[in-house]
Amino acid sequence: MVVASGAFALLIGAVFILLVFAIREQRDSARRAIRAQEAISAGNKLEKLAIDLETGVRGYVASGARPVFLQPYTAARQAYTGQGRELTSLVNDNPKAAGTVAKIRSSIDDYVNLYSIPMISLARDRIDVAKSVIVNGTGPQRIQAIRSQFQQLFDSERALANKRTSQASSRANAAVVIGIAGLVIGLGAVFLLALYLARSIVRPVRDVAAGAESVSQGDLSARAPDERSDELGDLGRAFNTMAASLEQSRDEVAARTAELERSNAELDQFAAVTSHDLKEPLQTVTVFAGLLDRDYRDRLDDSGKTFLDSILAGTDRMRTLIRDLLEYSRVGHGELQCEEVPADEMLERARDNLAARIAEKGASLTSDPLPTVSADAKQLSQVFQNLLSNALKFSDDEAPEVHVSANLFPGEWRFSVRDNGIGIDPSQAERIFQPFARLGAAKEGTGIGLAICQKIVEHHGGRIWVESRPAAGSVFHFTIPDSGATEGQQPETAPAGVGA
Amino acid sequence: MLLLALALVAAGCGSSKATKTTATQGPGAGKPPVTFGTKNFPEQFLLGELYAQALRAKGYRVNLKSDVGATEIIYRALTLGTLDAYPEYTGILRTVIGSEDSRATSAGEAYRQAREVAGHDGIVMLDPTPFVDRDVLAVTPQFARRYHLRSIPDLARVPRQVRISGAPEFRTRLEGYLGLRTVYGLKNLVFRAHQIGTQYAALDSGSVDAADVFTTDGQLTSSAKYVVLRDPQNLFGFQNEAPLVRQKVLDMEGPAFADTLNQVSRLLTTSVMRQMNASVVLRAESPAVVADQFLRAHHLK
Repeated sequence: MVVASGAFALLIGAVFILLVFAIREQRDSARRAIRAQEAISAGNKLEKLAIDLETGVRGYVASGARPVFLQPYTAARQAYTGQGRELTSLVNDNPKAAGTVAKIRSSIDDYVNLYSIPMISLARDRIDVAKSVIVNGTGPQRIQAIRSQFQQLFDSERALANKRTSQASSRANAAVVIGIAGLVIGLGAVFLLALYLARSIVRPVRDVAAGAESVSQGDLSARAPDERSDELGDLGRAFNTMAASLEQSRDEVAARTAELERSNAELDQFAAVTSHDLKEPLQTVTVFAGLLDRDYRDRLDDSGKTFLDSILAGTDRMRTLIRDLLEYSRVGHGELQCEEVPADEMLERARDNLAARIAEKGASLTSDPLPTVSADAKQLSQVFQNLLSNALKFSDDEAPEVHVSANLFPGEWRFSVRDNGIGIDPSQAERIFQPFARLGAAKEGTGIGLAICQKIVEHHGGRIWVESRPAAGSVFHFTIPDSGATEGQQPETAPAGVGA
Repeated sequence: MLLLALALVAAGCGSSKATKTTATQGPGAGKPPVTFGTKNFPEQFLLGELYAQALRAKGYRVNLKSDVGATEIIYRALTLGTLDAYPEYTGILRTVIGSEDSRATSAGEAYRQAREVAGHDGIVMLDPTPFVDRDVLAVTPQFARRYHLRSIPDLARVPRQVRISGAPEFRTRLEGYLGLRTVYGLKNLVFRAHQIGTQYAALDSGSVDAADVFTTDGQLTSSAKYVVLRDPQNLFGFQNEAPLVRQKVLDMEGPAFADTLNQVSRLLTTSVMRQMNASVVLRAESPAVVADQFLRAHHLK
């Protein structure tokens, strides 16, 4: 990659340098061609000045030395030195032409100093002599010689200009060819580079992206090519490592979940089977204990009566235990029979079931208006019944006071059952929801009621917890997801008394 | 025409070659450069090379300008200071420049008068040469025989117009066409202007009958080709050659400058000049080479 970029840069650089050279040479040749043209033009001017000198002298003498005829001569004489200097500077790059120009300038100097100046002076003094001398004067010859030198100069400069022009145009052509070749090579190189990039970078990156796409759609077995030794190989390997570790975690979670489900099912199965199988011998014990109590009680002494009562009480408790155990294992099995149920009615049903015990305890039960929620009616009334029963059970000596309320939180209704009972040590707050977790103070029950509540609430997608302090009463909260059925039925804050 | 071309080529070669040989030692070393001119015919090119090379051998820097022009022009260039020196002829100077219309009676008188003319213009005429390059009229032997011509006045016997070839300035000079008409009273002359050096060709081709030539011309080494007409009135005067130098230049360059030139002049006899002119004009040798050989032979280089 780096090598290819370097080679490409070198290539472009080389083409650029060649191009610069070609263009410089072309410009140089063109400039020199222009210089040759300028030299010719300057030479033409100088030649014209030389001719002006000659015609000026000739006219002056022919006119009988009338000063007005000397004007072209005077003007030319003032100008020719400067013009000669300019011409010299224009041909100084060409020794042969420089030699010719030097000769021309010397010839013009000679013409001026050794011919025109004496001739004009002679014409002023002796016009007749000047006229006769000028007939044979060397002036025309000199000028002719100068002109043929000019011709020589022009020929060589013209040849030079042509040569330089053709040189310039051939160099311009070379520049164009180099430029086009450079362009073609450059485009080719860019194309190859693009191809190379597509093959070596875009494709591997796309492979990794495809792998990521698969992973995001759950196919954790997707892998990217990782055989390259460069950064793209690193990327592929990093991706594969990530995907492998994700796959492993997922498999572990799945295995653990399956294990958990299996053990839960076994446990439930065990509970159901066990409780069912226990019922049979218990029934036998109960029946025969009952017969014993009915037919033989009178024949027993006091100790025997006490033993019998213990057996009867034990079987009673055993029956309750098994019933609760069956109840617990049954909850959470099978589909929920969910419907829109008014919580008020459920609470009412629970109270009816507990009416005897409420009366016995002299408890007062109040509630706020409760919402309608989507729940299994039987199970929801079971939750209320268990919580109420719990509140009655753990009351101290005072008459129990229980208040039920409901508040709408985002997405769920929170039901709260407050009592004024003995309260619970916060350290026990978690434990009480475990089956058979009877607290030391428990006076009755199997200790499975709260466990059932938890199972039911969680089965409905809610939570259950307790806020409590010993001797300060307890508040049991549980949530049921809001079905929207009671929207706008925000329960009134003012508690409505429900007659006990 | 061919001869002229050869002469011009030779002159061109000579002047460019000679500029390369300059001694860095000698009395002339470090002195200001001198522009030495010549008139526009081969003998002058030769004289220019002789003087310039001799000066360079003494360390002077000499800028030789061959073919400056006719006397009127070159002398004026000298007086105007655009030229420092050139070889001139005594007779030409006293008549053309000094406007002397009487003819000199001797070479010495001609030299003195010429020297005087130059002196008025701040110009020094150095020592004269033994040779005389005087204008003479040359005709073909056939033409001379036909009209029995021996001297210039004999031309009056020619029963038709006599076409005379000469340099353009020849027409207005007393020592020329003008003098031929006034001094010798020749009425049957027609002037044909020619470039100096082409007169012989004109004679050969028959386009002219007589030509103004110079006594030192190489062509005259053979008497079989051309007949020189005598000049009993000394119309063409005494034309010894002597370098003209501006006084200021002499002052700047020091006495060795004049001495060098005088040493050269002293050696130049008519036969020597004819030989060298023949080499240059007829055998197309370079004036620079001919001058170099001569100076070396006489230990002036």
